[in-house]
Amino acid sequence: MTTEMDKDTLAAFVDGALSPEESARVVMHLADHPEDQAYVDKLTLLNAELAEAFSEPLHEPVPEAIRATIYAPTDATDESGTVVPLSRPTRRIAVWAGLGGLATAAAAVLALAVLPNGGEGARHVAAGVVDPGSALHVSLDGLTSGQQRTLGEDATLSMVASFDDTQEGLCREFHVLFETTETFEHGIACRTAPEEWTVEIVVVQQGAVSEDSGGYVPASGPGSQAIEQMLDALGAGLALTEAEEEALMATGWQ
Amino acid sequence: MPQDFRSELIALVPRLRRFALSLAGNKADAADLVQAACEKALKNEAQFQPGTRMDSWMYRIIQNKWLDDRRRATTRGVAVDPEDAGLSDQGKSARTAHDRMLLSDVREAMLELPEGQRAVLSLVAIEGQSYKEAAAILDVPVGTVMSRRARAREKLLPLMADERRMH
Repeated sequence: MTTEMDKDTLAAFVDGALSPEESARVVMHLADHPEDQAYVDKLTLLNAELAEAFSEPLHEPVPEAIRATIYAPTDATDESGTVVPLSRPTRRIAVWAGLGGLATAAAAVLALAVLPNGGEGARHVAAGVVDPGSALHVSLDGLTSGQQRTLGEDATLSMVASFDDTQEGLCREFHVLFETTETFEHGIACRTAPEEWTVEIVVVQQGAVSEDSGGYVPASGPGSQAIEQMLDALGAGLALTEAEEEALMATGWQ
Repeated sequence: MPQDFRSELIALVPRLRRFALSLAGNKADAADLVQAACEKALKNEAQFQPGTRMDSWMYRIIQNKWLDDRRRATTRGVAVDPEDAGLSDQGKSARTAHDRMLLSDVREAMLELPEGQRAVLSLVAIEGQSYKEAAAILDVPVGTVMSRRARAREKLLPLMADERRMH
């Protein structure tokens, strides 16, 4: 039986700094040296505590300032030519805690009130199951938030954010701007079945196009409040990161 | 290629923030460190060789920036209350009051280590880098990493409340 092993070797073992052969030798030594085993246990615990003491950033999304820095100088022209980065929101704060039922009721009424009426429905986003072959469906499947895509002659769809902790499961928030009718639609679609998206709410704003913002309106006003309330009612929390969205795209949003 | 660089960088951010937090000891300075390091990395993107370890490269940038800032600072940072520094997890991960005290003790003890020991301990014990990788990041010989690691270990081990936790 050998004597105690030197502390540096034991520490290197705990730190994973030994070769497999050296590690095997330490393991065999520890089997019949309880004092050294106790030292190894203590160091292992210390390493775990050190990691835990500073682990908070691992459980947080990448801060917007850092994300903005990393993606800032991106050239706006993408290969497809129609996809440009926009800013993306990072957080939805559920202010309805304890009032969930009320929020849901309010959102439901608004959803009924803003359903597009039959006359021009064909050109607009309608609440309900999204046609699998439609551009909206394709965009919901494959467009990361912060990007936009032209739909037909005069419409542009902008993906705003995705949420995966809602009551409905995965949901995506989007805007559609119809230039000729100056109509701005703001909607939420949720994954309701495999390969199926259902638009849960659409808010329509007329005359919302602002010339000096390049055709896009900031999300504000009563319509946007309805969307916010709907997100709250769904229990939406943090928006997914681009990487998370890409991972979901790879698995068909399951 | 540039998109790959950015994607890889952003995927590293949580670990970079942890590393910066363990060096700086408070969230505000850690955020500044990571921000500055990302700016520097983007500016020097051409110096990064695809296929090499981006984490090592970024750890190195952060560590150098941290040392620069420390050298410029006129006073040594005062001990920071974890509650003030935003480090408290409000008991989320705490199992008992003893454990919570222990984690704040660990943070304080880390802040009291000399810079070199703190950087080694963070890379080796928290970030899981090998001694050789840590030596390359810090630009010191492997022997220096090992001796700093030993000194840090001897300072922290006595602080462990093992009589409460190990039976």
